[in-house]
Amino acid sequence: MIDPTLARDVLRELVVELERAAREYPVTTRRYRFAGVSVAAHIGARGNAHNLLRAIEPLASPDDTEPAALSLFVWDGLGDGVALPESPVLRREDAPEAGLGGYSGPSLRAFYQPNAGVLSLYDSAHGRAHWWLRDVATTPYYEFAAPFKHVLQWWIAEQGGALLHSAAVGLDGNGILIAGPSGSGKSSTALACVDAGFEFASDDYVLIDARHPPRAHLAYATAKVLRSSLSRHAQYQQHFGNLARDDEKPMLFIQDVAPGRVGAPLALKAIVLPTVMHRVTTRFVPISPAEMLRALAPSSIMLFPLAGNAAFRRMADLCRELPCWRAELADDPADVASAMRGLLAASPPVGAHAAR
Amino acid sequence: MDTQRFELNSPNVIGEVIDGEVMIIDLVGGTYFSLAGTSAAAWPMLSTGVPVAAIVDAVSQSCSTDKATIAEELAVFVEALRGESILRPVDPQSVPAAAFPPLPAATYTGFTVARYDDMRALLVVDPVHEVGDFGWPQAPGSTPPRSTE
Repeated sequence: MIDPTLARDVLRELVVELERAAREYPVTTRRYRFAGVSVAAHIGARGNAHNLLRAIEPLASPDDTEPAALSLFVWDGLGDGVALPESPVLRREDAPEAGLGGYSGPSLRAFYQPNAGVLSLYDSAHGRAHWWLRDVATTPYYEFAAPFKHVLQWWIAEQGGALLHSAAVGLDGNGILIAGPSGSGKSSTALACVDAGFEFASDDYVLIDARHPPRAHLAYATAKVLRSSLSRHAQYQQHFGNLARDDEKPMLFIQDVAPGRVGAPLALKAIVLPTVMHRVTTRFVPISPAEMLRALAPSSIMLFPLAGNAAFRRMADLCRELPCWRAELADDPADVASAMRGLLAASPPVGAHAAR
Repeated sequence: MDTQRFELNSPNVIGEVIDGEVMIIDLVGGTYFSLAGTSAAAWPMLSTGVPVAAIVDAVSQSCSTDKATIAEELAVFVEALRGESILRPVDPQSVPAAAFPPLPAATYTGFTVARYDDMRALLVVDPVHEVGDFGWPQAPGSTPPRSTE
């Protein structure tokens, strides 16, 4: 086990090195809006990290003049020439047993993925973050699907929101949160809805703001499906990537298949927990807030282990505030989308539910 | 046991009461738990340093059940939660918890905890979520991350 003092010292050294790179290395700055808040991404100009940011393309806000609430530096370690300091806690062969792993201090958060070669670092006191990739050319595809997600979850938690392991779709600005573990049908349900004209906010990670009633915001415009369910989305076949590798989920960018229907906030009306039941028609069964929290929280919390109690509380608030349903899914995607449309139309104002 | 007091083993463990149930997540072990009925009713007191004897009294009044039965079953329950590292003893010198209002009348259901460890298995089979690739969530048998906050 690494000594916490050593971890803290290594973190300080990392901050010094990465901030030196931020001062001295050329960057290209792009502006984005996450959950309506201005973020500046400073991307190393000599490397290839800009290639990893297609998932956040619909959030681009190039003419934004508002001061950025977060300055995020994105580094291609090899291409930009930004190396991490030599340290036993950063060596691949020592992690995870003795590596840095996750670190949470008073104002610094860090998360190191030794095999992927990805370091996420967030300095909340100064509103600055770094997402360092050892070599963009070998960075795993799931980082393309959800870039700097750890930084994003630390940052949004400080705004009173949360980054949830959930999908979200909607119509006319109103939305449904789709919870559940991987493989439960989140992505297929979301894609069925997109195919039927719904707006898209997420298939895997979604930003929830601090408002009551809550709103869902796009984090990443990517959709991934199980290889076994690819045939259900044959109309998108030309847009799916990662088809050649059995160990990766096929993935597409939503802006390619539903331009103009991605990125708008959705006022949430309900949470559904999809269950693949092979029914003829999709059916919704009410479930308790506690049952929904059991479906929603563990995967969100365990995928973001330093998210802490605040994110857990926000999830519990969501389950209390919104009607919770188990969606017993039909095989026909059109039926699933039709049922989701009906649920959205029938959902009462959130305040009315909470007052019951 | 009577004068012993316990609290939630935070920050490694987090808990939330919702709709009469309690959900507890062990961030280190990767497991989660739920409490219902009498267990859930007693949880706010048990996890915030109320003496065990006071909890026995409160449950006995709420459920009209004899104190000896409650004390015996509560002791087993506490040991189970300590064994899962959900609870830890409170320093006897610390200030006792504020008084709780009486528990509402309810049927005594005994003290039980439901344990779920399916999440780690789900993560292990899902390479999208990077299991085994970094410090956390770890592959089974490896060392958990540290939180120093």
